[in-house]
Amino acid sequence: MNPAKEHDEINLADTNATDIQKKKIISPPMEFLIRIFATIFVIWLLLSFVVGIFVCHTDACSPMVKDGDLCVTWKIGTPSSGDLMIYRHNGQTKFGRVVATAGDKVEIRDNVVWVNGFVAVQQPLGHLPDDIPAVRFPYTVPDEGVFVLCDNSASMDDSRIYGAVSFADSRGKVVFLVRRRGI
Amino acid sequence: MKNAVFQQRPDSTPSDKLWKNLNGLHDGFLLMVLTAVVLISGYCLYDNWYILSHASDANLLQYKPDSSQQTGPSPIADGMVGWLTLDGTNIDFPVMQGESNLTFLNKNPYGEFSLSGSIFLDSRNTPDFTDTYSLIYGHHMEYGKMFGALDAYLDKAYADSHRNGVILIGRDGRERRHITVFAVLRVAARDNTVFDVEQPLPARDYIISHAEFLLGEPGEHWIVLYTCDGEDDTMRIMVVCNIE
Repeated sequence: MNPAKEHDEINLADTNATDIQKKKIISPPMEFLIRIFATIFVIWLLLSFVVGIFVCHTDACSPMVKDGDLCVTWKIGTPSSGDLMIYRHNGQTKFGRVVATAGDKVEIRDNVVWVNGFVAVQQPLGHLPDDIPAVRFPYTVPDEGVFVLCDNSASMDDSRIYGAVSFADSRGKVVFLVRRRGI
Repeated sequence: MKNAVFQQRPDSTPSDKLWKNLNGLHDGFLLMVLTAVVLISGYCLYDNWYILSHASDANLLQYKPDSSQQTGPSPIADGMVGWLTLDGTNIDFPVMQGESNLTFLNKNPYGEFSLSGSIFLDSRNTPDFTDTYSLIYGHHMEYGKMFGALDAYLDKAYADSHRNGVILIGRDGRERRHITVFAVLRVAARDNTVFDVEQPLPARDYIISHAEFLLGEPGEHWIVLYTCDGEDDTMRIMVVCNIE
């Protein structure tokens, strides 16, 4: 091929390449914005549907989970018996152990909780005060709900007072916790 | 031609450098988060591996009473009352007995702390297995470890082909008795009927009426193998054997 012609063709190719480059570039501020929004979106997705991060400020589940513990919850799946669950109730974040699931019959005899005719919790629990409106026992756990009890027998802040916690109020079961106090 | 979507423009202004630094910071932030996730996951994997690898010690077998590989005095703790084997399964363990049913729940046969504990005889039973109803507990673990091996007995064909076993009685295995599986049950975790070793008759009726299947007739003396816990917190597995 004619060297001059070859040179022209190469120049033309370069010019086209530069034009294409200039059209495809995203400016750094735009790139930064996209990164930030993408990160926020992914974090929002994870924290809404997959994991939860909470700090415990209640002694309801002491000594399993104590005041100040950083808890990571797993939100995928439904809560099942034995799980230590974080949930929302009346605008507050609460901790409780699931002892009964949909369809189970819960009774309280002599301050001991029975589920489906068997003792659910070995130690007797605090006495239900007469003046707090408690749930009617025997209580059948509704669908899409779980009955939770505080691990700490001194605490009454659980389903004995306000009934089953719905799946919608659940914030997942605690799978990991980090403690720095009182080691 | 390079993929030019995020390519640096040929002429960098100070403003461009600022944005480049910010993007770099963002990269650094993501890297830190991912590193933290990897480290936590690594810890979780290590913890799982640790539990499983400590669930049963292959070295224990050399201290089995009729083993030909005996190497000096046995380091197994004083509470050993026998040795249980189910042919063709992972179950080949010393049977311990403590002052209470909590003693060997989290102690291995050497007496050391262990999450998976030991296979142990109910503290209310006589240690020579002469009771009508001898109840042996073990943790249910993944991959068939400890009494996780009992899961397979829920399948009748498996149970039928793995019916035989041996119980060696005493620390020295002085007596050898043949055992035969005759019933498999799933029981509610909180059901205490089966724990009443002092009242074998209600337990016997319960076993017969609640069995998933019966492979034979109940005899006069049984060994009951019971898993302490499991993935499904509400149901436990019981394998009931006749002792000859």
